[in-house]
Amino acid sequence: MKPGRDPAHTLLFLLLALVLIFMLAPIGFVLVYAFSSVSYAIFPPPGYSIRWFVKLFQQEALFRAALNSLIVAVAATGVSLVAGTLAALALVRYRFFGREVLRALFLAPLIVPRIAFGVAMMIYALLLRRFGGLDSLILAHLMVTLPFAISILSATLVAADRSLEEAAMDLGAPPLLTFWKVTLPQIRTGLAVSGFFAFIISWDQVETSLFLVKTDNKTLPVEMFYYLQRQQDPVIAALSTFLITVAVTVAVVAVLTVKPRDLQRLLAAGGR
Amino acid sequence: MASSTVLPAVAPRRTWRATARRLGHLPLLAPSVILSIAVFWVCMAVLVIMSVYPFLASGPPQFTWAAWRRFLTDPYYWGVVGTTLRLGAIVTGLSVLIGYPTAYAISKIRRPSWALAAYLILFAPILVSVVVRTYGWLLLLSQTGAVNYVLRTLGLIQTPIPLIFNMTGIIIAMVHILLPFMVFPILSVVGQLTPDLKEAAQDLGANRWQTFRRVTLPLTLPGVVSGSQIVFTLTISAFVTPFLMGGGRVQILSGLIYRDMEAVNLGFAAVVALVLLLLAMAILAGSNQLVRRSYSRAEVARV
Amino acid sequence: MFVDADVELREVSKHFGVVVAVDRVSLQVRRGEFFSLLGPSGCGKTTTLRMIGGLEFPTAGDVVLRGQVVTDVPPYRRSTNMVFQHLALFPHLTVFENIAFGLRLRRVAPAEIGRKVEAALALVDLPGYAFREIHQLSGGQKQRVAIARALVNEPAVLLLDEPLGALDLKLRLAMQAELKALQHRVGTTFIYVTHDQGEALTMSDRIAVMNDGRIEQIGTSEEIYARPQTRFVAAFIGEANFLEGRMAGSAAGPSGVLVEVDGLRIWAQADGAPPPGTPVTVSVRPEHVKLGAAAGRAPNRWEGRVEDVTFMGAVVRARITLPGGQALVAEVQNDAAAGLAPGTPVAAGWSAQHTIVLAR
Repeated sequence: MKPGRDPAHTLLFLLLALVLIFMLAPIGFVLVYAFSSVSYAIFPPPGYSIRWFVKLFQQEALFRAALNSLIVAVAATGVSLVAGTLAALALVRYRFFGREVLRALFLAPLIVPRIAFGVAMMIYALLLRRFGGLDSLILAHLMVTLPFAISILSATLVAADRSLEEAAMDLGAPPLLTFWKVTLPQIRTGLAVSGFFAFIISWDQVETSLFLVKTDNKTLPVEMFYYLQRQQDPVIAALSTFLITVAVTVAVVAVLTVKPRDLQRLLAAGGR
Repeated sequence: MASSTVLPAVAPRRTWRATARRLGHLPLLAPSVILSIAVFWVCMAVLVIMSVYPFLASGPPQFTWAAWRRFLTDPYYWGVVGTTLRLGAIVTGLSVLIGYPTAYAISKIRRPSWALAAYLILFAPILVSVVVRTYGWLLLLSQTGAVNYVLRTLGLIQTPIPLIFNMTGIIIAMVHILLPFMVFPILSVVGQLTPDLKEAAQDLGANRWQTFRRVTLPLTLPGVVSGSQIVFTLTISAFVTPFLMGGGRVQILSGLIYRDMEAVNLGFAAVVALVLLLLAMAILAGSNQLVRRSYSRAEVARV
Repeated sequence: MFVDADVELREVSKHFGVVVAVDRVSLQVRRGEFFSLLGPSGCGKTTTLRMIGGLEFPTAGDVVLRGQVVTDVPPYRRSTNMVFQHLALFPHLTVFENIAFGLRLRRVAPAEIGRKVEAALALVDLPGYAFREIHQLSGGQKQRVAIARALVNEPAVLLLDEPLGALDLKLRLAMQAELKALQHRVGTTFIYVTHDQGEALTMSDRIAVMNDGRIEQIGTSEEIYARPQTRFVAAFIGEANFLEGRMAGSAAGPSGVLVEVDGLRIWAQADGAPPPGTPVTVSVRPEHVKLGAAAGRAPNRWEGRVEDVTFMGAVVRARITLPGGQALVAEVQNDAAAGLAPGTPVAAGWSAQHTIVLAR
């Protein structure tokens, strides 16, 4: 292998290991506490039990919140993908006056601090008497997910092969059919990544939802936030176990199925 | 349908098909534009209006600068702004110090499967809600939590040190949450470094440290500036983590907003929200200059 | 002009913003012709082809297909089909599905589709390849599939956009012959875009030479080569010597017209020569310049001096300086090059027939 250990490198990799432990620590400990036998946070836990999981399943409010989050996330993702694809098509395939300005304007919502936007949305919703429903939540989340979708889908479309679309049209396919049979298969990965990001962003939104919730439309993160303010028993840890498991599964599946090069390119677009 | 053909001042063709072609982008943009305007832009306008014309507060609304004056003239609020900016600076600084070597280390991993694992461990936590992760830190850093336990067992301290409900706890948790956002841009830039630049420097007599300082560092600076931009803006905008970890003892702008919203001081909350927004925009605009300059210097250095 | 024109372009222009890609191009392509658009990169030939196919739309002018004005008709409603430069074969479909693509869109019966695809594959000499995947094919095979995919729809006009560019030389030459034979067999009008003059000259019935968005000349290979009408065409096709001069005062005679070039009086072809006094460029191709004894009693004959001699295998090229100081390149067969050495005097001569007068 390498001809001789380089002390600077060893130090570097040691630091990396520490950082990785640092990244995993809070998540790991939440998992530990989910199985603790006592309600207060103490390390090491005196015993292990699953009573918090039992208590979790009795928390109606949390289940309702989870359902709300799911509905909102699916709706926000769906609209983002459709509107985002259309907008990306216009931005990439057409040359028109004000295109770059429009592109910047679409990305503008990302600069606004979420909590500021949350306040604004609350006032707006109160004004329109739509406060307290799922629709205002969906629209608020949409403002955050749509820019991501547009950005990622634009990058994907730029890389797509236009000559295939021209060939399809030359052979007799009208524009809609061409889009369906030729363009869509090509942007599959972009759609998946956009949808994925949109869903995660909506699912985990706290600040944007915080001021839009009343009694019936609380989302899961908000419900968890309120719970943590009232009491800090490991029920939240038990719930987190499920959330973490889902997150890890998704990450592993994503890594195994998507080609690394595409993923990197798309993540770069999303990051920007 | 024959058409007249006079050049060079070419008038667009008048057939309906040609017109439809030229305007084809409009229906595609319509949904996104309508949504953006109707939801985002109007909503932000409403926020601005609310700060000077509290139409939802109790009593008849009237145009007034009262809310703004209250914020701008009270030193307490300036203190809050100061705390917010201080938090941003510290978190950003720590992220750079930790993030840069981390990115460098990852770029040096030879086996792709290990590199992938490192990526995964570093970035997958983003998938987990910020509430859960903050909760994790509350558990870890509490008086009876793991960190204090380890420190006491190792004999480094006698009594547990307070690591939550203070600035320290906030900083630790924020660095954890935002570190990936610092590492990612630095990694991208480091990935673009070709080995021949370092080899040229060493050929010209530079040792490892000098090569790093004169070649690697300036060329990777754009990534650092870019990452700092993101981390700083996200830090000052954050609410959940500072609120939970601060326990009410540390007040930053986002906490002020929450407090005012709870007290239904919508007008004042609007003012604080706008202050936060202006701050974020100012940081972005200022640092964009930095980003651009660091990029152009990197380009010059590369050529 | 032609009553049976399959394709007609009337003063077609294409502007991209301020860039004029195609400038008032007019041409007619006869039914069943193999017509080429020839020119250097950026001359507008591909854009012109795409406008015929409907993939671009003219900024001005009209495109007429078989008598119908189709200027604004989208590509999926035109009876043209294109073979794309990079082939644009659908990677996620098999050879069969690629070729059947257009047929399926027109709801041809499945049994009929099968028959037609087989016939198309046989036509391009790929029988039995129907169920291969695209990535399994070689460059030449992909080329044929692209052609089959276009031809199976029996278009009025087949458009080919530099289809042989990606192939190596030997394969390219073989494919040229095959394409020509194919065109004869099916009888469809072919419009072919290329920057390779050899390709255009060998394959085409007629060629349109384009430069800078405009048509320089349209004619058969022979016409373009032997009677170029502009300096660009004379220089682009084959090689030419150019001499700047002025039309002599005397009128045309039986041996042609006289051009005065720096004190030399050169006889040139009278066809379409401008009136006396006009500044002109005279062109003569190197292979028409005879040296030594072979110069014989040519009307244009002078004693020049050899500057250098290059042996090129079958031919020998010599640079000659004429008495008036003009430089000339002569190309002679290797067995006619005896005695040529740098610095020696040599007689150089050529006929008026081979001397073309071009506008300045």
